[in-house]
Amino acid sequence: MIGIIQYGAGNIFSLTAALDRLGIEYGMIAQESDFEQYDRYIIPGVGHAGAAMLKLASTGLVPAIRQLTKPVLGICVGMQLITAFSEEGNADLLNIVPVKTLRFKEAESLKVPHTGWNQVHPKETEDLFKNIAADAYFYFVHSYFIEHNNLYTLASTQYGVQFSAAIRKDNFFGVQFHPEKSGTAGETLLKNFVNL
Amino acid sequence: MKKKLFLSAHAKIFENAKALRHNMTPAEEFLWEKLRANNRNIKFRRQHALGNYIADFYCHKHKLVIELDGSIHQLPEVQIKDHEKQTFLESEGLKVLRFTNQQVFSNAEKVLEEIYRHADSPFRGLGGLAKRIIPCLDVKDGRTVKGVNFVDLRDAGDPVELAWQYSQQGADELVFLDITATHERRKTMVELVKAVARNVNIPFTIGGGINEILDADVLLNSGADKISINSAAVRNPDLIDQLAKTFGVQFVVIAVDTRRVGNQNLVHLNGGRIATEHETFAWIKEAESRGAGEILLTSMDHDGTKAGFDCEFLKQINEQISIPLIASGGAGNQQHFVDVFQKAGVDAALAASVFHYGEILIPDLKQTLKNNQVQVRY
Repeated sequence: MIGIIQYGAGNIFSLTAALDRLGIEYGMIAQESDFEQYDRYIIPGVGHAGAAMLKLASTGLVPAIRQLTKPVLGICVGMQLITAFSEEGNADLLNIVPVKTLRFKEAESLKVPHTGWNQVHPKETEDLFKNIAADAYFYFVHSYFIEHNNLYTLASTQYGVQFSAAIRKDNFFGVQFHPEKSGTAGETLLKNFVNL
Repeated sequence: MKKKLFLSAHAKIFENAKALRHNMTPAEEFLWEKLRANNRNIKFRRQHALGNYIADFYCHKHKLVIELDGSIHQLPEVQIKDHEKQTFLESEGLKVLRFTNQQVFSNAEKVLEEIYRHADSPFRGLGGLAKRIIPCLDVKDGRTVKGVNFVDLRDAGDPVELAWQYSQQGADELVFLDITATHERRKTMVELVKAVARNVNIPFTIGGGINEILDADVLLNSGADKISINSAAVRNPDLIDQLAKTFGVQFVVIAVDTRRVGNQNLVHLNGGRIATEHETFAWIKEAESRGAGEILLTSMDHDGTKAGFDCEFLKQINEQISIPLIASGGAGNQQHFVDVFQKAGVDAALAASVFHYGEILIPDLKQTLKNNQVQVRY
């Protein structure tokens, strides 16, 4: 069963609706003692990474999150939170995955936010992307991206630069796109996360 | 000097490139003739300076380098240099394709096919970011309606069922507009938003009667991905700043209805019925600077005519903003969508009745766009 970490950053209605459609059970984590009821965790999040980090820190859940050994999936800003730093508000983040979250640079024909369906290219043999085509489209909407890193990038996408569409370090996973809004590819990814 | 086009190449490199252009190998000459003759609107340059290197052929739009290797490229020292060059070009986000002279002469068709295939491939520029097709569902009293120029409304079905069908057909996103909201002061459609979020696995925007932060907050928490603000933003531009600050720019779509009045393009309200004093371009720039994450621009002169999008005006706007632009108004056939993406370069195109009445099927439209080299999700 998935525990969704509640810290007040953005709406989770769409996420829980997707889990309902897929028949995946879930509950909410509001305090440390809630963690043990679940074997998978999702850190959701939209909006401003710096502000989201402040909200997460104020819940007091951060030490427990760091110690999790079961699979954790950060989505969008939830993914950015597990990186070291974001240029959005120049915020220090959880630093579970030692990579940075940067802003898309102003460039000719490069519109920000990066909005829409873009192709995601997973490394081969990644269980999170099992049964998903190598160039499948996922829905993105973000102005900041996680730098590409050979050690931690699980799947990459190109938008002006090549960036991390998904990252992984040990049991911590993150996806920049919104699986709950990414059609059947996104639903397959959520099912894969449950089966990791 | 265009830095990006040449990756800051030095003057000496330009001189060398120029010399090489006068001294092309037979294989280069042969391929150059073929590349120049292509009718796909893919422009190549030959012997093009890139940083400290010279590419045999280069297409800037598709960030594609083509290298032709004669027998000299089999020498180890030359191979090391080739590798260094390729590594540099790839680090700059370019794709490098290599062919042997032999391949060019003996199998030119195959070589060209490979080149054009890679012109569409993902790892460069905008990557695989697809142009979006957005059915718009105008909703009144919980039912979908769409009429010509917002008059003569006709019932086109249950919005949730329609939305689900569109998601299955390959629509990229949906927009729901409560067209009665503005002048009837109708509040938002929370139950509809929840029903859509429960049933549909693609993003959607909701608009109509959103006047304050609280309205937006309720919709966000009901599962809406974005909200669309039209007249409320014109009346109170500060609302854009507040929404962007509270929910992030990605949540805020500013819908602009424009109509030509004399030699000016003016923002209109209430379905195009009321002219404002805002010049359309100036208003869009203001919305962008205040925190709009996207612009939905409807040409009221084209809306309902099925005569095509206002490509010329959309192009002007698109070139001068740095947030995504959704084109709306005038879609009548598939070619109109090809035109609006190719001529105006917009990020998304929205239409209603042509989809609702089955005049254009989304899978067919995607295929047509793909055939015309427009990047789409399929």
